[in-house]
This record gives sequence, structure tokens and C-alpha cells, in this order.
Amino acid sequence: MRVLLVDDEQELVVTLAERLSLRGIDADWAATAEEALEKVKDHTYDVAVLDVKIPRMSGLDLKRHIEKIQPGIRFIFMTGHGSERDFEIGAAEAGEEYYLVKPVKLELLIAKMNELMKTEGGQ
Amino acid sequence: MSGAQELWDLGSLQFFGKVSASISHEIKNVLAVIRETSGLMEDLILMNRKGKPLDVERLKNLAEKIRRQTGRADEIVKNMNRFAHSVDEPVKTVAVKDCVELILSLFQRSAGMRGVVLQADLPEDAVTVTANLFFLQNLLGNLVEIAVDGAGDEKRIRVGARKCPEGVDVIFRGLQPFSPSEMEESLDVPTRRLLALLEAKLNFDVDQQALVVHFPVSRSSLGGEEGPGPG
Repeated sequence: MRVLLVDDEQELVVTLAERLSLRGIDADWAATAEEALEKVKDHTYDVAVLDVKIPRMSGLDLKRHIEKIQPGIRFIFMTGHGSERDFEIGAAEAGEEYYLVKPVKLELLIAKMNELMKTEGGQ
Repeated sequence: MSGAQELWDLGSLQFFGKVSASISHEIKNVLAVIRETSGLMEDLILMNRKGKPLDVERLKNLAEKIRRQTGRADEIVKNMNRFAHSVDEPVKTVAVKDCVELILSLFQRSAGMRGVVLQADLPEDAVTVTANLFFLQNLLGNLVEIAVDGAGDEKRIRVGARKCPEGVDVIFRGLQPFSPSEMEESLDVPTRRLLALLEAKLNFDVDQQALVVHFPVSRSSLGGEEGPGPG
């Protein structure tokens, strides 16, 4: 499984990528939407894990841009925001099951990735 | 009208909620970094138990990362505390420098989300305003948001303050060229009401591409003593 982690908290995605790699998951990371789109152009990913609030572009907008480049990629959202409205919008895009509130347990994140891998061509 | 209704109409409860949500978001991010960093330390120790050599320097760097993040969280919580204490007194003498710096810290992230950097450009000498601190913060927060929405190509809003014979000006620089009449019309009702409540006036400096909020002498102290500042 190859995943892309996108969050402007660089220390978070760097560490998360390393922990996933130790568990046999090939993980790349990006701290901006622009970097994420560059990576998606160059590599094929099974799952993208997106922060909901990324500078200059929302995670939801980034999802749409990524889907245009790689249709079929699966998505998980991570957020530090717990407002009901944010939840409704995020859950509508990714499904309630795949909208996770930080801090996220690594085991839960991996379980969600594995669940998504069993689905056909994303949500 | 009830006090709560008045606060609602002024947008003050929404302002309080918005700032609190932003702070909680920041803290969640810090907690997420700390959780993953400590998790990685555990991973490395577990691998060591299975025979992989432990890189002590690596562990030291991870511990340092946790220390740095707790320092960041401490700053966030200090700001939250200062903001929370802004409702302690109905009126007080406020150091404009402290007040603006706090508001810029609280709005840095939301501005960053829109690709804009906030920068304090404030004099060290005493510029004070006698006002309700919470309403003052509310007004300055609203003006920061207006300035961020209208930021120029540099994407940097600089906020300054100056004494003037008739009072104190707080200046928001770095806007794109704008029409004063359109800017005036775009002001929302809570911002207009806060301006009136604080007896302040918003001026539009087209040449400097700046918003200037003027607090009259009746509401301001022109120096000498340093105000006690917020909480």
C-alpha cells in the first residue's frame, strides 16, 4: 500500500510517515497542497490522508484536484476542528468512518486504510 | 434587550467562539505531533528490544521535538488565558501594543489558511487606550479579517499604532487598492456597532492602501505611563 499524507503540520506528517514505513506501509508526505499535487502527478497512491484545513486550499478542494489526476484514489480526512458543520461537510465527502479527529491513533488510521483498500476504486 | 442578546448582536459571542475554536484547533495539532513523536520513540525502543541498535542521538532529537511542542502549547495556552481574562473588567487602560500582538497571534493561523502573514509593526513607547478590552479585541479581530480578505500581492498585513494629537490610530497596511465607499459598505453590522460602542472611527487611507481605526482622546491616553495591558 502506498499512501500520501498531507498536513501543514510538517512535524506531524514526517513522523507519521516514518511510523507507517516501520509497519511496511510506503508513505510520502506533503506540507502544502501544491507539494501534494506535485507528488500525485509523479506517483500513484492508494490512499491520501488529508488535513481538512490546509493553507490556501481546503482539504476538500485538494481532494477534488487529486481525484482529477488520480481517479480511484481513496481518501481519509484528519481534522483538529470538531464543529458540527465541519463534521457534516467532511463526512459527506469521505464518509463518517473516514473523517478522523486529531490526535488520531495510528492503529485506527491503519485499520481505516486497510478497510479502504478493500473497496473498489475509492468512495 | 438582554445582555446576552446585545453580545450576540455585536457578534461578540461568535467572536469568542471563533477564537476559542481556533485555539482548540492549534492545541489539537500540537497534541497530534506529541502523540506521534512519543509513538515513534516507543517504536524505536520496541525495535531495540527485538535486537535493532538504538540510536541515542535520534531519541534525544525526538525528546527535543516534544519539548519544543510543549513550549508551543504553553504559548497557545498563555494567549488563551490572556484572551479569557479580557472580560474581567468592564473598562481598563490597555497597552495597544500588547492588545494588537495578542490579536495577531490569535488570528495568525486563520490568516495563514488564506495565504496571508500578519506582522506587528508597533512602537515600543506607551500608546494606550481606555476601553472595554474584550470589545477592543473584537473590533481589532474583525478588522484583521477585513484586512486579510483585502490583502495585496505581498500577502502581508502589517499592523501599526501611533499617537496623534486627537487620540490613537491603529493602522492596517498591506491592502490591495480599494474603493473607500465599497469598503465602507462592506462593513458588517457588528463591526459598525463596535466602532460606535468604542467611539472609534474607521478611516480609509487610499494612498497608503491602509485601514486606520482612530480612537479619540476621550478614550485614549497619549503616553507617559504604560498601561497595565491585558490580563
